[in-house]
Amino acid sequence: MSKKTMTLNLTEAEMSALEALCAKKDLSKIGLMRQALRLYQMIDTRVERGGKLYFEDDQTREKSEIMML
Amino acid sequence: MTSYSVFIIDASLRQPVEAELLDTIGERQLLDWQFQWRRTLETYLRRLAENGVTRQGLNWPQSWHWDWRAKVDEVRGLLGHTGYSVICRDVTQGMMRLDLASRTARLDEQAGKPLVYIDYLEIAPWNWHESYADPPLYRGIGQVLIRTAIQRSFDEGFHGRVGLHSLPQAVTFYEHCGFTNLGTNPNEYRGLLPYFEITTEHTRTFL
Repeated sequence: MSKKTMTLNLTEAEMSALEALCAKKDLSKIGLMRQALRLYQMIDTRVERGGKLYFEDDQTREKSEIMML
Repeated sequence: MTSYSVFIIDASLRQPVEAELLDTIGERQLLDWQFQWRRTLETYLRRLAENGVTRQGLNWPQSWHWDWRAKVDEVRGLLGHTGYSVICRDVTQGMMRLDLASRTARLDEQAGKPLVYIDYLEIAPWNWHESYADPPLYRGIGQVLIRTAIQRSFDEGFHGRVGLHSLPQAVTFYEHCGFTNLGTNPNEYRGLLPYFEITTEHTRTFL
């Protein structure tokens, strides 16, 4: 499969967040960006089909909807 | 689409036979499912019914209602999903759909880390080793697909971690593959399907 290359400029805070997530998830930066894209596309598609995205509190069962922009 | 050479077992000859592993589930596979798998399945279900096995019975295949065309259409174009198929003597012998994006590991030593999740895995009905079924034509297809999921997990940087929910009839198979059974959860699949996961360490013995 042919691959394309791009340069990504991040602020220091964004890079710190990226590195922290990489360490937490045991992923490389490329791996993490790829996962983020897959997940974002999946969520966007589901929302476009009429689905809703929300978090549910395990204790209270209270739901808070996430708005996709 | 990429094709790899793999070996499965010709059950009557008890000999390895070369098969093809495709990193997709294409139209050709869906046609095999529609016109060959389903015909064999219908014959088998009729035989079960004639022998007094009901849909609620333990011998009734729990994947009998799976619609592979719908399963493929549901995730078409999504980067987080992919599929694999095994072809031997020009006929599809097994298929698997994977989720690469939305699940994380649950075992303590790898909790919260990404894994390859097997959404669905099925082998062609003529390969089933079940009561009232004809003897299977090929064996080892499930193992090829599990090995493929593990390899994909390594390729993705997930260190071989793989998870899945198993149909009760397939529990023994996943235990033999080295998966850990984490049991059922009443909030998932009506509490009917146990969750299985394999660690990096256990994948080494399986591979």
